[in-house]
Amino acid sequence: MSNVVEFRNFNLGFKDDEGKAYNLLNDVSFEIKEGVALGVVGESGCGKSMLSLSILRLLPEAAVVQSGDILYKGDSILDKSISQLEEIRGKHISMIFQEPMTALNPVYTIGFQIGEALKTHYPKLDKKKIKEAVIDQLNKVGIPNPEARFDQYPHQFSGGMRQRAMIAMAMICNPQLLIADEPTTALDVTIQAQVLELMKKIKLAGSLLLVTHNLGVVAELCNEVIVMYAGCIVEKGDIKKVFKNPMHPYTKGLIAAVPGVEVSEGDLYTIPGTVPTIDKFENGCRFAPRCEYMSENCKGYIPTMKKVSENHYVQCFLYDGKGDN
Amino acid sequence: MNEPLLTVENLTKHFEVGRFGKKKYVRAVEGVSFKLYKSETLGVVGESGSGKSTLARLILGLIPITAGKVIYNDLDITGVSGKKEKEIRKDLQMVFQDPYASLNPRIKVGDAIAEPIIYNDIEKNRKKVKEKVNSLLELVGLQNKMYDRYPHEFSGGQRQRIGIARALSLNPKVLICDEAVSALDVSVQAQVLNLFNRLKRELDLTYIFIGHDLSVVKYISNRIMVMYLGETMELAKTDAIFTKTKHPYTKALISAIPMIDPDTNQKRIVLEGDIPNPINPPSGCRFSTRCYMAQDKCRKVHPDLLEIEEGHFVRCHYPLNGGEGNE
Repeated sequence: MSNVVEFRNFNLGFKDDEGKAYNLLNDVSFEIKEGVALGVVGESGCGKSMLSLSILRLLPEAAVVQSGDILYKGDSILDKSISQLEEIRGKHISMIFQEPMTALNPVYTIGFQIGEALKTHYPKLDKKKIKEAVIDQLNKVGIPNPEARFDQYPHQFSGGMRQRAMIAMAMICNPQLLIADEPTTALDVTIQAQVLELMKKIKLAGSLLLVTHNLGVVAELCNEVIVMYAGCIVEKGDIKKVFKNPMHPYTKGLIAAVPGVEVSEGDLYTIPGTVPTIDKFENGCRFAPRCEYMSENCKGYIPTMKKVSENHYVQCFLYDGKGDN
Repeated sequence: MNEPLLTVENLTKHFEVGRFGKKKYVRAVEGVSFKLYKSETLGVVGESGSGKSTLARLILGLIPITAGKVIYNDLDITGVSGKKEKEIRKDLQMVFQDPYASLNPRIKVGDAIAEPIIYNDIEKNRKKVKEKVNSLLELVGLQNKMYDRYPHEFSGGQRQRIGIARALSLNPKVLICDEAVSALDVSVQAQVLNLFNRLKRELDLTYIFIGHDLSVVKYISNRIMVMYLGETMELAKTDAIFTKTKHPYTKALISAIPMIDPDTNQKRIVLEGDIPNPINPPSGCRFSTRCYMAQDKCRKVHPDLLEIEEGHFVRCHYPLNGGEGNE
């Protein structure tokens, strides 16, 4: 299996007002394999959105790449010129954003906005062909009466319909990689269920990178998962291995803290303390201050990623590697 | 069960909309009745537009009531004002959803908590007020040196604790929590849920806990009321809601929860379409337009809320046979 996107020891920092840079993403390495749905989970501030934005170089101005590289099909994304990037954006890699209300332009019709990517990437296509393709795509994402919907504006769409339109927009060029950043978070429970079922159904030809804080959504849609805490990947691997046999104390805590469906008595498991802000990260393991297994080892430097079994890696001093990284 | 502490009868709220021409009404809450018993937690679940937040505001008298009654301790508190209102407000307090918007950024958190104490003459002397605030801060798991800090110095979870301390400052009997943990991260949400449970035990509180996440509401509630488009669809003990589900909507809500276990192959009931506009709710059963079991009668005749088993209320012409297909 070849890799669509590969992160190699990627370090990303943020500058404050005085220009001092703080490290957020620390030594992030992973790959998105062809045809695989990879989930990225973590709480707010863990850098999961910055991770997804850096693939398309959509980072805010304060962000600075400190070291490392991101490869798309073997070529560095960071070295590409803007025009080369624009060739990739929307055609090879596309993105669904969290807030369907703000991600659509209110003064253009839905049909125009979905067709825009086709028009940009395939300038030879005529208007009629584009309209056909857009209506076909609207049909695929389950928007009823697509011919009439084509000429409507975003305000005439409900939240769930807008998110469907966003998915149609992202899928129109059949991308190699679809990045979805919290695609169901802003939606009601029953609408979220609709969108989840849709995303299962359209299981694209390419790969999926799904960024979310909802562990259940990842469990349903993904084959592999990355767990992030304060800019570090603390655990990654096969979804079943990570969720059924979590190794890192943070992953364990995160899974235990979610109230399940079965009726239970007693207190929920909690992780003490709160997620640190970027200027207060530890030098050592960033989770150490909240970790019940903390030892002297954990201070001073960040543990390396260790392989615990086939396609299951963890970044914690508790585990001795059973193989090479 | 013991005597009801709070009784809500036929509570209705219609908001007027549209300035020109014919007046229209958003029928936000329609004929909601329930009893809240002492020391219980009643969970209220529903999607946006189900009227759950409006219900909270009606009970507290924060917005005028269109019809219906709220009875607290055998006293009709619908539309009370003046001194009597001040007296009753002390007993009924609210914790709000957004811990970022519900605190004034220019007031020290200690002073924010002290404000209701001073206004209601609970403590007269300054030193006593400060002592009380410090004990409240400790009660919700904060340090009393935090008195002099401003809201921006706190994280979301800590702010929510401050909101809780403020609501507790008047020694309320009933606490209404409107989406009180929805804005928090998973690990912090668990901390705050545990705090709610501890406070309930220590202070003998009664909660109305409003939320959209059925698994969170389930965790904290003794009974759950499911709302849809302003109406109560089902009301029962928590385990009965899950194991003897009667209403098709409740069943769909339960099946919509994404499970963490990657092996569960849950059969999800996907509801078609969107929540209808509350200005023009469907005739007959309000859920009939999205119901996967709807029949002709459902679209024509509006069902009543019936107690079909002891303590289990449901508004459906064709309630599910409890437990069916839940295993």
